[in-house]
Amino acid sequence: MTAILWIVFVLLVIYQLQRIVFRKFGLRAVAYDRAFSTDKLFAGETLWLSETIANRKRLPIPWLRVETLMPAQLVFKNEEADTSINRGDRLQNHASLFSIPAYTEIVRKHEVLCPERGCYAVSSYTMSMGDMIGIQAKSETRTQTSEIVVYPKVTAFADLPLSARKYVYSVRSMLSPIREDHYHVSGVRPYRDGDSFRLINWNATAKTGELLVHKRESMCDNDLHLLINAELLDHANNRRVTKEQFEQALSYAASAAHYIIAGGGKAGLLFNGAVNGYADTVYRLPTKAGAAHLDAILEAMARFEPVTRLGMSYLLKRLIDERTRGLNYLFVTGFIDEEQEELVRQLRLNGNSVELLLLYKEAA
Amino acid sequence: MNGKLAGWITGFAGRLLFEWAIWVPAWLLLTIGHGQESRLLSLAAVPACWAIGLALMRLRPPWQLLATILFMIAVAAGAAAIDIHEASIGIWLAVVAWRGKYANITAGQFGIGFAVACAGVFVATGYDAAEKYRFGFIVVAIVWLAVWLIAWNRSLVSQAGLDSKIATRAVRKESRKYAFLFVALALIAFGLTISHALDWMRLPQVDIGSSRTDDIVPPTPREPAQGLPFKVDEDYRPNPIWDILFWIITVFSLFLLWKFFVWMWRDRKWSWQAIKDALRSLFMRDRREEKLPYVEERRSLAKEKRKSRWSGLFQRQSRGPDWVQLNNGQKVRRLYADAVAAGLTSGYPHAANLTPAESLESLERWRAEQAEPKSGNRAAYWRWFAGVRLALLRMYEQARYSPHGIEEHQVADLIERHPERDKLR
Repeated sequence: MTAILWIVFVLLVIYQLQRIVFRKFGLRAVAYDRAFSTDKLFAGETLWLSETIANRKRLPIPWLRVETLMPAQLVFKNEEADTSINRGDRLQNHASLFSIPAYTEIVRKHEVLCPERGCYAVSSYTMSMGDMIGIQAKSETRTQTSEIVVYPKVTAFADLPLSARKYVYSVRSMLSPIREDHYHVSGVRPYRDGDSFRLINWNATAKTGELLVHKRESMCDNDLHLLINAELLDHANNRRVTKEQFEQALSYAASAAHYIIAGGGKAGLLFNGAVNGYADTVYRLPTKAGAAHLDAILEAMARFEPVTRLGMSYLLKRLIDERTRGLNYLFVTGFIDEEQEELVRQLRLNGNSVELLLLYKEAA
Repeated sequence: MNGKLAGWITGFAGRLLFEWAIWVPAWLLLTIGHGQESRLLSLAAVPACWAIGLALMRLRPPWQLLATILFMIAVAAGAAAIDIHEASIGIWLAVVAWRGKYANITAGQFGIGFAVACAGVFVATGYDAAEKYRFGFIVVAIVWLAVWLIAWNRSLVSQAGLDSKIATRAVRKESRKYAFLFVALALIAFGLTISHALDWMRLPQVDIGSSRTDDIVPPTPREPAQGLPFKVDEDYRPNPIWDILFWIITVFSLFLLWKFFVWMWRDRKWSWQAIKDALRSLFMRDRREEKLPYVEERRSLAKEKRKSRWSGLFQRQSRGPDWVQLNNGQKVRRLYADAVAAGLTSGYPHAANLTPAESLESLERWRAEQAEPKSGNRAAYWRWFAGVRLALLRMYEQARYSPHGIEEHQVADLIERHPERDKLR
């Protein structure tokens, strides 16, 4: 019996010694880095989450678990249901288990699908390590923030509803604002090569001694203003638009902006809902051209939330009060009431063109 | 019979073997003084009782518990009825039958083996007839302890993986190495210190001096006690119903056995082939590659070890990071720089105002005008340089000026005939 007691005693002593060593030195010189292959992508695309863990010391680590709480909207492909641990509606606990020899670096890449738009941040992670037997020896939490922005899905132009497609096509096809083809004369300007002699303002020319011509406005320019309504519920008529329809609306708006800017035009954005990280009631992006501006539009759309900050009627009144003319609006909304219809009519009377893209569908 | 059934049979046989291995010390102790046949019978009873206990556990509750308890009582009582001195064996077999609820081998089961072996050592220490088994029990206990630790490591790693499949086979295998190392260290320490431990832990002999042991009169042996005067009924005969029941059960068992053999015989070719394949797969495992949900790469950081203050004292310091630490573009630039450096050390008049294309061209032209180098390695280097100059130039310009990366196979093709390619891999 002495021998058995002695072996148990020896085991306990060695266990305690190695446990002290692992607790003291286990997580020293262990570096963990987590990076996404891209920080901006479109909904439905995949990216790679790369985990790099390096053990830069002589002491190996029998097992090391890294747990991260990340948004549930990031779907890990190639992993079976029982590896998605504690996956809820908003958050999921992703864990990776390593066994790292001395002076070794391990890089693991996971393919992640991002089916929903939004801004996703992953901030901290917890590292737990075990000793030679396998009992957990130490645990610590470290901070490292990674963020990805998932833009709304840009569909093919042909997938837009017909009326919206025709409208956006006509906006893009509009001629350059340099062409003055409106009947309304807004002033005079110096003569340019190519101007017709019929445009010469003889009175102004005689008075100034310089050849001056009538300055006419252009009919319209090829700028597109996206007006997106965050209201999902129409109390008065008991109509509701689902969140999926709202996502689809953003997808249409993103596709229209992409089409316009890709064709050399300009696009702007107006949204009356809550925007993550933006405090004002109305989110507004002026019309601009260029890929950088398109990125800004898409990034803004990624942060949109279907929570109304300002009623659409008030926003339309504001636009009317601005007395702007010659603008093209694509009004994306779940539904429109009589008051809003009247306001839209006034916008049109002011010399703007407004196209409605309604999301609400009557039940069959 | 398909492979699945053969696999099940193999697994079941393994579980029976494990259960038998747990109870070997108890069997040896409880059957001391028994005849050979009796010993073999009780040995065969161990897996049989366990298998019956397992079968009874498959019943639906509450029949499961009821049937198990009845069976346990029947076994214990049956053994006592055969011979009251066999009651201990009956109780032991009843416990074995109850263990039929543990169909799978978990880490705790190894602890049971260790506990049984320790109990065997304890009993053998105070029982002269079992003295010959004591050393064997000690060895068995130590083996069970070591195996228990390894099995416990497996379950701990599964728990570390939060009982999901993130504890992959590779991670378990790596982690098990450290458990083996722990056990090995413990056994080495045990081996080195056991002799001292035995001396240290021996109880000192107490000499009580002049004890009046001579005055103590040993007890006189008594006559054996006579048995109680029970009335023995010489005309007693057991109830014939037991004989009838016995024959019914025997015939039914033989019938079942015959049906089983007929069933096995019908698929004899496949049955035996499947069993042979299952046994072969058990011992000569050709494991399929585990499908991992991620892509993993490893690299050694041994060369990045922090150097001590003395390590570079007598060694030439290398310029810049080592080859393995460079990415593909950096490797190409290193090759270009090495080529220019090789020319400089040989006397090439490098002009900083030249473009890379002009530099390499003038280097090759200058080299062609020089005499053949005496060193074979150097000559091989210039031959390699002449062969890859254009490719090197193209890749260098791409690495330096172009946003497009260099592929690994391009670098591999470039250094294929390099005289020091072994150092560059």
